[in-house]
Amino acid sequence: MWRGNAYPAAILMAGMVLYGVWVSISMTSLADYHELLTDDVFLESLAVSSYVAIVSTVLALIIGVVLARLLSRTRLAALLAIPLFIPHLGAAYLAILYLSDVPVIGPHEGNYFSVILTYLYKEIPFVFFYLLPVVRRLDPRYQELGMMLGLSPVRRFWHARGVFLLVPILEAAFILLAFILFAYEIPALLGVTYPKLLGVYAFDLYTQGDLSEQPLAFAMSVVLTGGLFVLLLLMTGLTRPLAAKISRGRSE
Amino acid sequence: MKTKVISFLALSTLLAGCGTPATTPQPKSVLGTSYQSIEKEAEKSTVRMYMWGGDDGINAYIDEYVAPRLKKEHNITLERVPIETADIIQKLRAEKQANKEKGVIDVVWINGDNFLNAKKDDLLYGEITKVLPNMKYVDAAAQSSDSGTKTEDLEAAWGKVQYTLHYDAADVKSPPTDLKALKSWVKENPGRFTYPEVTDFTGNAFVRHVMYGVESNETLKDPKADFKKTWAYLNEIKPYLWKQGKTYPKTLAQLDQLYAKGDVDFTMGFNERRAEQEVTSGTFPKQTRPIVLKDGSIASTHFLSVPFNAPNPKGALVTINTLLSPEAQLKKYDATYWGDGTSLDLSTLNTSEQKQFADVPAAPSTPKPSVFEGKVRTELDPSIFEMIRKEWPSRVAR
Repeated sequence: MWRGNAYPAAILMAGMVLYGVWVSISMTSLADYHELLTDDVFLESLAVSSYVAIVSTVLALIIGVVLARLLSRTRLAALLAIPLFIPHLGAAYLAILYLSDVPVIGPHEGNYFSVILTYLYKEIPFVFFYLLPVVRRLDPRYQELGMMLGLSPVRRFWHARGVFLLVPILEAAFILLAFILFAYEIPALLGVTYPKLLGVYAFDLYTQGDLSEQPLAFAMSVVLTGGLFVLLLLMTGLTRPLAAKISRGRSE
Repeated sequence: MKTKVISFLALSTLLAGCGTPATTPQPKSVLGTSYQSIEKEAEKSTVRMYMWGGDDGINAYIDEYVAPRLKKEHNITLERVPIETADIIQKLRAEKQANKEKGVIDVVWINGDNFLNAKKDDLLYGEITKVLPNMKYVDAAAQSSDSGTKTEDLEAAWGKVQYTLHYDAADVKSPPTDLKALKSWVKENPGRFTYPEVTDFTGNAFVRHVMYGVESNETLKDPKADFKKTWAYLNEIKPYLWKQGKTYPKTLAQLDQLYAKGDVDFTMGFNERRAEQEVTSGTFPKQTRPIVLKDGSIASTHFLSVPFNAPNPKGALVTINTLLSPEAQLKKYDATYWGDGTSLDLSTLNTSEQKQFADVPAAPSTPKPSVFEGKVRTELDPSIFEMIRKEWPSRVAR
C-alpha cells in the first residue's frame, strides 16, 4: 500500500484535535466530570450509542470484507460506489422514505435498527473500497505454500490472508467506531427521544436553554476523545510489531 | 543602534496609535442622539438582519415588502441572513470573548431563552427602544417582559401570538375543549396525538400548558416545586400517544409533517393564525380547525434587537422603527405573507387604522379574538423551562 509522507497531515489533524481538547478542558471543572459520569441519562446514552456503533462497525466490516473478496475482480464493484456519493443526511432521508412503514425496523424504534441499517448502507462501501487494494494484492501462492507445508485451514487463512488484512481492518474499524459514536445527522432524524445517541445528546446540552449545561457537553467530548485515544494506542501497540514484521518479510 | 531603537519605538507608538481608534465601534451615544439625526445618517447604508429562515411566508414578507419599503423611504439596503437564533447567540458570545468590536449583524430577531442568554452575557447594544418614535404604538404589557425576563428596553416587541391547538375536523368529530377532555380523547384514539419533545420551544410550552391546567397557583409560582400532577398527566396519556409514547417528534416541523401526512390528528404552536397559509398551500388538511383550551393559552411575544457590536446601529434602529409602524404591522398581520399577531396596542391607532386591522379576513382555522377572553395566560418563570428540560427525560420520556 502507498505510504507517502504523512507528517504534514498528521500534524494538522493532531493540532486540531489537541486544540479542541484543550479548549474543552479549559471550559470544564472536575465537578462537571463527576456530574457527567453519575448522570444516568448520559450513561444510558453511552450504552445505546456503543451498541449502535459496535454493531454497525462489526457488520459493516464483515460484509465489506466478504464483498471485497467476492467482487474485487468484477464490475459490480462500481455499483457499490453509489452510496458513497450520498451524504449521511441523504441516507437518513432515504431510510425515512423507504423504512417508515416497516414494523420493528422503521425509524423511531428503540432498537435503533433503522439507524444501524442506514450506517451499513453508507459504511459497507467505505470498508469495501478501503480494503479493495489489499484484497486485490493478496497472493494466492501463499495459500499454496501453506498447503504444501501442511498447515491447518485456520493457520493457512491467517498466514495467507489474515496478517495482511488485520491492520487495514483495524484502521477501518477505528474510523467507523469513532465516526458513528459521535455522529449527529442519522440519529437526529431516525432516533428516539430516549435514550438519545451521544451526538444528539451533546448537541442538546450545548445549545439548549441557559447554556449552564455547556460544560457537560465539553466534558463529554474530553471523556470520549480520551477513550478513543486509549483505544488508538492499544490498537497501534498491538499491530505495530505485526506490521513491521510484514513489511520486513516483504523487503527481504 | 540608537536610531534603530528610536525608529522601533516610533513605529510601535504609531501602530498603537492607529490601532485603537480604527477598531472602536460607533459610540453608544448613538442612543443619546435624536431619532431625526439617526434617520438622516442611516441613509444609503446597508443593514444586515439575521433571523430564523424556516418559513417562506416570513421570508417573503421581509424580502418583498420590508426591503423595498426601506429602500424607497430611507435608501437603506436590507439584507436578510437566514440562521438559527441560538447560533447567532453563540456567534456573538464568541465575538465578545475575542473582543471583536465590529461584528456583522445589525438586527437580530430574538426571544425567550436566547434573549435571556444575550442579556446575561451583555450581548445587546443598549436601551434601543427609548429612541424609537414608533414605540408609542407598542403594547406596554407585551413589551415589558420576554418569557418572564424583563426586557429593560434592550429589545422591541415585534409580534405577539397565542398558543393554539389545531385539529383535523374531518377525523375529530367532537374536539376536546379542556385538558381533561383531551386526556379522554387521547385514550379513546390511540396513536393519533403527540407533542414535540421538550427541547423544542413548542413542546416545552405544551408541558407548561399542562401545568396551567393541573397545578395550583401556588405551585406555579414556585419553580422548585415538585410538579407531580403534571408528570402524572403526561405519563397517563403517554401509552396512547403516537408510537405509544416511546418517541416524540424532535421538532415542531416534524409534528407538522405527521399532521400533514395524516399520521396524527393534532398539531399545535404559538401563533393562532399559523395554519392559514399551510391550509391554503395544501400542506395541512382543508378541515383544519383551532382549539383554545379552557385551561388557558400562553401569550408569547417575539422581539427585535441590535447586537453589542453592530456595524451599522443607526440603520438597525431605522429598520426596527419601520417594522413597528402600523402599516408594516398590518401587512405582517395579514395572512398573505405571514399572519403574525401584532405587538401594537390597537387603541393607540386612529380609527381608520383600527378598522383596517379589524377588516383583515380570518380563515376558519383561526380562532376568533373573543375566544381568548379570560384564557390568556402570562409566561411562567424562565427557570421552569429549564426545569422541564432537565426533568422530563427521566420523569416522562424514559
